[in-house]
Amino acid sequence: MELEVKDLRKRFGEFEALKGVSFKTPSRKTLVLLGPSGCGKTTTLRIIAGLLKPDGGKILFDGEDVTQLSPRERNVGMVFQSPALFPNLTVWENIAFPLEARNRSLEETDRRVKEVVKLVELTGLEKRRPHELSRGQQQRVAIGRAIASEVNLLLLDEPLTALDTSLRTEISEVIRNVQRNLGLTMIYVTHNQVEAFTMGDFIATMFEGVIDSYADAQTMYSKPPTEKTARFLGFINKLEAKAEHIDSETIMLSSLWGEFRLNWHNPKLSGKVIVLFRPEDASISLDGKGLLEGELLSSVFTGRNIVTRVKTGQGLIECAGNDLSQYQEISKMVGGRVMVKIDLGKILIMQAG
Amino acid sequence: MEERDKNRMSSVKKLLVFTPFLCFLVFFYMLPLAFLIGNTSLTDFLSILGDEYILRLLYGTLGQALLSMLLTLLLALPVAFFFARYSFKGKRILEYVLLTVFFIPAFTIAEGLIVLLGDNGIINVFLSSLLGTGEPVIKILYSMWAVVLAHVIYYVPLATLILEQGFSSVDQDLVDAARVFSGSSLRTFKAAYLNTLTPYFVAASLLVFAFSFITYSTPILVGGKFTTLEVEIYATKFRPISSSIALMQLSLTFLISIMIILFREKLFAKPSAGYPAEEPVSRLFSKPSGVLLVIYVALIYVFELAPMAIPVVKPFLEAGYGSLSVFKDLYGFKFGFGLSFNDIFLQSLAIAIVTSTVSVFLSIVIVWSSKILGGLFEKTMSILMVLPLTISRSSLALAMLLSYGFGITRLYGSWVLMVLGQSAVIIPLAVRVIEASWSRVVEEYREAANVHGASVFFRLIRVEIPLVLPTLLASFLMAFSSSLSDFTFSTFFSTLNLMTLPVAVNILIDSRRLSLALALTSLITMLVIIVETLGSQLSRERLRVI
Repeated sequence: MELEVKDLRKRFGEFEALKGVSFKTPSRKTLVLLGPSGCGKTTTLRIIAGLLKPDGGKILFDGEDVTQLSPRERNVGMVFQSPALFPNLTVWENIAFPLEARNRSLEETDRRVKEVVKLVELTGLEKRRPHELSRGQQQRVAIGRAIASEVNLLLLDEPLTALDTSLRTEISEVIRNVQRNLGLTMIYVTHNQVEAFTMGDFIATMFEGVIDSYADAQTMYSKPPTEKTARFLGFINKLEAKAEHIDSETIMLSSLWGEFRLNWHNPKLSGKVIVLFRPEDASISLDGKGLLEGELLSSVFTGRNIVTRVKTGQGLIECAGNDLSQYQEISKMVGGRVMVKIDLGKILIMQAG
Repeated sequence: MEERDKNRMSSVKKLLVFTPFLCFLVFFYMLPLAFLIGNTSLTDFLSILGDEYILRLLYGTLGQALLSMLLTLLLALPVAFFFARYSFKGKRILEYVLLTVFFIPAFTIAEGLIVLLGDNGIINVFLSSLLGTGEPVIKILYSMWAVVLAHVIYYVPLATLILEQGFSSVDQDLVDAARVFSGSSLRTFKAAYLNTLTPYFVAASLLVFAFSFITYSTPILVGGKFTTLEVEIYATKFRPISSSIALMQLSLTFLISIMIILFREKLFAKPSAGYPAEEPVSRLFSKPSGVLLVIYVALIYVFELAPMAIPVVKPFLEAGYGSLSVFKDLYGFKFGFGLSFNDIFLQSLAIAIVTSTVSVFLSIVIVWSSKILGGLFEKTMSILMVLPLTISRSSLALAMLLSYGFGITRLYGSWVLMVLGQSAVIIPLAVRVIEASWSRVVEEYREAANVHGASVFFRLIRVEIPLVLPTLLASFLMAFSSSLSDFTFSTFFSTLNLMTLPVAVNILIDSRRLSLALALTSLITMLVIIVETLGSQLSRERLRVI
C-alpha cells in the first residue's frame, strides 16, 4: 500500500507542531522519519494512525483520502514506544485483540494468531500475561498484535528506544523479518541514526515541524541533501572553500589549506562552497603531513575511538579517525601544532549561503 | 480519550452520551428540589429566617460544627505529622486501624460514648469510686459537648489522612534549608511547612466543618435537648415548616459545597511534588519531645478506638466471656408491627445489595460518559459530583419524600425510595473513587485499543472495565457498607413494614434496651469493618475524599 501525506499541519495551542509536512512512501517499503526530539515526527505518525486530527492537509492510502476516518477504519497496525500490552490479557489474547475487535470468526482468529505467534517467535508463551514476559518478549507481542489483522501499513513509534543494546538488535531483526515476510509498508519514527539506517529503505529528516530532506538510505548517509541534515547525521565539521569546474566531472577546490582536484558530479556547484565531513573521516597526522594545520586542544579516549579537537584558522575541528593505539602519542601533542588529515573521498561539498 | 473521538462526535451523539448524567441529576436532585421549592411558600421561608427558635438552632448547629472542626484539627495535626515523618513496621496497619473509625456507622461512636460517659458509664463509675463521690463526675452526655466529642472522635482519622498528605508533600530540602538558616522550630515551620500545608489544612477544615454541620444521628442519640437543623427537618417532616427549614439548610450546605469546589480548583490544580523523608521512628526516643509525641499518638488511639471497640466487644462480655446470649435475645426480639430481627436484617441486606449495584452501575456510566465527552463536559461533571458530598441529607430525604414518596409516585413505604435516597449520596462518592482509578488507566492502552480496531464499547468491556475492576468491587463494598450504616434516609423512609438495621438500633435505644442496641450495633459494625477491610485491599482510591 502506498502512503502519501500532503501538507500536514497541526497546532497545539500557540505551538505549531507541523508546518506543512509532505512525503510519499512507496508500497512495501520502509520510510524512517528521523529527527531530534520535539520535531513533530511522533505527531505525524499519530495523525497517520488517526489518533490525532490534523488542522490541515491530507492522508492518502493508495490514493484514497482517509483523513476523516477513525483509527478503526484505517486498518493500520501500531507499535508504541512502550509495548502498551493490555495487562489483563494473555499473549494470545493480546494478539487476538484486533481480530476480535473486528468480529473475525473464532477459526480465523485461531489460525491467524498461531501464524503471528510463530512469526514473532513467541511459541510456548501464549498463556503468559505481560508482567510475566521480558521486555523483549513484550515488544514482540506488541509487534504481533500490530500485524494480526493483516494490516497494510505498520507504524512504529520509537519501538527500540526503551530497550538495551542487545535487545535492540534482536527486536529490529524481528521487525525486519515481519516487514519482509508480509510485504508491509512501514513508517518508522526514531531519533537514533543507527536505527534509522538499519531499518529504513528511505529516510526523511524532520526539524521543527517540516521535512528537511528525503532520500534513500545510502544516499542519505553518504550525501545528505542539505547542510542541516548533514550536520544532524554527523557531518559536524565545516570548512569554507571555493569551487571551480574543470570539467563536468571534476572540480578544483581552493581554500586556505590548499588546492585539490576532486571528482564531483554536481554541475551547479561553483563559487563559494562549504565542505562538510565527519570526525571519523579526519585524523591527527603523526608524520607531519596533512591538509589542515592547527593547535591540538584536547584528546579524549572514549573506549571506541580517540576524539581530538583542533583549533584551525577556520574554526574548531573534531577528529575521531585515529586508531586507539595512537592515543599515548597524540596525548603528548596536546597544546602544540598538528596537521589534520581528511579523507577527501568522504567529504560533502555544498553551495554556501 | 483521543482527540478524534471528541472532535468528530456530532452534537446529537454528545447529547446522547450526556443524557445518563443529566437523568441522574434530574431524577436524584433537581426533581426532588423542585418539589421542595414548590412545597415552600415565600412567606413561610422568610418567616423562619426571623424565627428566634430556628435562628438559635442555626447558631447552635454552626457553633458545634466550628468547635468540632477546631478540636479535630488540633488533635489530628501531631498524629498526621507522626505518620508523615516517621517509618516503622506495621505503619500501614496502624493507619488503617485509625481510619476504620471513620468508616464505621456514626451511631457506633455515639453508643460507645453512652457506655463510657453515661451516668453509669465505665468512666463515671471508675471516677466516682476513685474520688469517692456518689454521683457521675463527667456530665457531658446528652448535650452539645457530647455531639462535639463524637464528631472529634469520628473525624480525627479523616483530618489525619488529609494532613498527612500535606506533610508528605513538604519538600525535605526546604525543611533542611529552613533549619540551617532560621534556627528556631517556629521559623522552620513557617518557612518550610506553612505554604505547603495550608491547602490541606483548609481542605480538612472545610470537610470536617461541612460533615459536622449536616450531622444527624449523633445529635439524635447523644444530643439530648441539643438539636441541629438536620434533626429539626426530620422532627417536623410532616409539617409545612419542614420544607422551609430544609430549603434553608440546602442553601447553606450548597454554599459550603461551592466553597469546597472553588478551593479545590484553586489550590489543588497542580499535583504536589514533595520529597517525603521518612525517618526511622527509633529516632523519636532519643529526645523528650519525641517521646511525648509517641505517648500522644498512643493516647489518641485509645481515645479513638475505645468508643468504637466497646460497643463491638461489650455484648460478648455481657453475660460472661464468649457468651452469645444477648445475640440470641436480639434474634428473638419482636420489633413490633410483626417485624422480627430476621425480617429487618434481610430487608437491610437486600436494600444494601440493590443500592450498591445501582450506585456502581450508574457511577460507571457517569464516569465513562464524562471520559468520552472530555473537555468542558468532563470538568463540569467532575465539579457537579462534588456538590452532593456535603449536601443536607435530611433536606434531600424530605425532598424525595415530597416528590417520590407522595408526589409523582407513591413510593413511601417502598424499598425503592430507600434505594433512591441512599444512592443519591453514595453515587458521588463512588464516582470520585472510580474516576480516580479510571484516570490511572494508561492512555496508551486506549490508543492501542483504538488503533487496533476496537469500538468504544469493545474497548470499555475488554480493556477499561477489567483494568478498573478492583476499584469497581471496592466501590461496591463501600456502597454496601454505606447503605447498611445509613441513618438519615432509613429514619425518614421507614414505615411499619419497612425498616433497616440502624432504625432498629434507634428503636432499641429509645426503648431503653441498651444491651440489645449494643448487640445489634456490634453486628453492624463488625460487618462494616469486614466489608471495608476487603474494600481497602482492593483499591486505595476509595480513600480519595477531596
